[in-house]
Amino acid sequence: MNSWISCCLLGVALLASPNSVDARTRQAPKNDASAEFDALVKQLDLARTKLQTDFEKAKTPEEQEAVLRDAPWTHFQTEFKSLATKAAGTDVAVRAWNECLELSSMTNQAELAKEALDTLEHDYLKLEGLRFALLGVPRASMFLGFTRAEAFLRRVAVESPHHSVQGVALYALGDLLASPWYSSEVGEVDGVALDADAKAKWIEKKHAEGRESFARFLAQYSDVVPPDPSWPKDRLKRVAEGTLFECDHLQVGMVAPDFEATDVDGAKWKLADYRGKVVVVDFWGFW
Amino acid sequence: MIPHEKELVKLLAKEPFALLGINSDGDAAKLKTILADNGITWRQAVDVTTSGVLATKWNVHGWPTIYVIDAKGVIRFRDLRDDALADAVRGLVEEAKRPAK
Repeated sequence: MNSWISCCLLGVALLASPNSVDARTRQAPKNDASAEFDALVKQLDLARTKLQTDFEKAKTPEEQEAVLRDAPWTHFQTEFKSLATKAAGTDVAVRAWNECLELSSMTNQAELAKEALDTLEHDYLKLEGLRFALLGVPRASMFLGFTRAEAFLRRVAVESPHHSVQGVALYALGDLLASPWYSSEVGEVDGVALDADAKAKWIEKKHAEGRESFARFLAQYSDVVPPDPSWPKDRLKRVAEGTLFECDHLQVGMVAPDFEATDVDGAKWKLADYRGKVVVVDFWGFW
Repeated sequence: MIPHEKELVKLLAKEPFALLGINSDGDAAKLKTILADNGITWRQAVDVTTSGVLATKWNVHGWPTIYVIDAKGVIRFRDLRDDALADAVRGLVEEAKRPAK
């Protein structure tokens, strides 16, 4: 494994679960299962921190590789699965299956990711807690299969009786379909291999459907807050708006929308000032 | 990125071309230091943070994010880097200099 891939995997490990411990402690009344879940999440967060420290300490690519290889993700997946089975029928089970799903990107356990999704679909479709298990589905699509992930989110958006679950499902569906990050990984659809031309057309179609999904989210569900209360309340709305703007104004072939900016000397300038010149707009930073 | 960009700016100094940076490192004073330390001469927009006004409006979630816009203001390429970026820009500059039919 080269260091670039290692870095990516580390990034995924650290970003994989945006949920904080706080996010999962809301459930009341407190019972054994939910306490066990909180404890597991705490351990997982500690393991992530430790991985980051160890990775930074590693001196060679081989050492870095060893740090990633020895990470305890499979152990956590097993623990979460066993908890999900024990707490069947509750929000805790939904969250535990969600952890299995999200950890699959670290463990490459496609079978477990599929089992998690099947269980969520068959046993928890009508539960309001299902909203906790939707935002990780786009990333897990590389193990679930793009079509399977899409079908699941579409079904939840239609069949859940809860406004909040429908909204989060539409948002996740928009994320899955509109982002070339996921669709560009797809090599075949319905068992038919796509050549370059067919693939480009298919990606374009999915992109348009993703745009529609975000548009519907904004029209009917802009009040829906992120399942994780540690996120800003308007985050889903803001990302949906940004994606819609990008779809409608920032594609190749479109006239770039003007903007006004201030330079380091306090002077104002506009993109339109540079009409007549070829312009490279570079969003950058070192931080 | 930056060495390539410097080269491009130098190479196309007399051509109809502009490199515009939208920076998320901090306020104007901080950015001024960064520009001086790195010998960056092209124009900047002070966008302060990764959730600055411009980065938010243009839905930027990864850095760098690069747009190549032709002389008519049309977006022609996204997210090219280094040599591919330089080639694309040179092609568009030639296109801009060609007399209109």
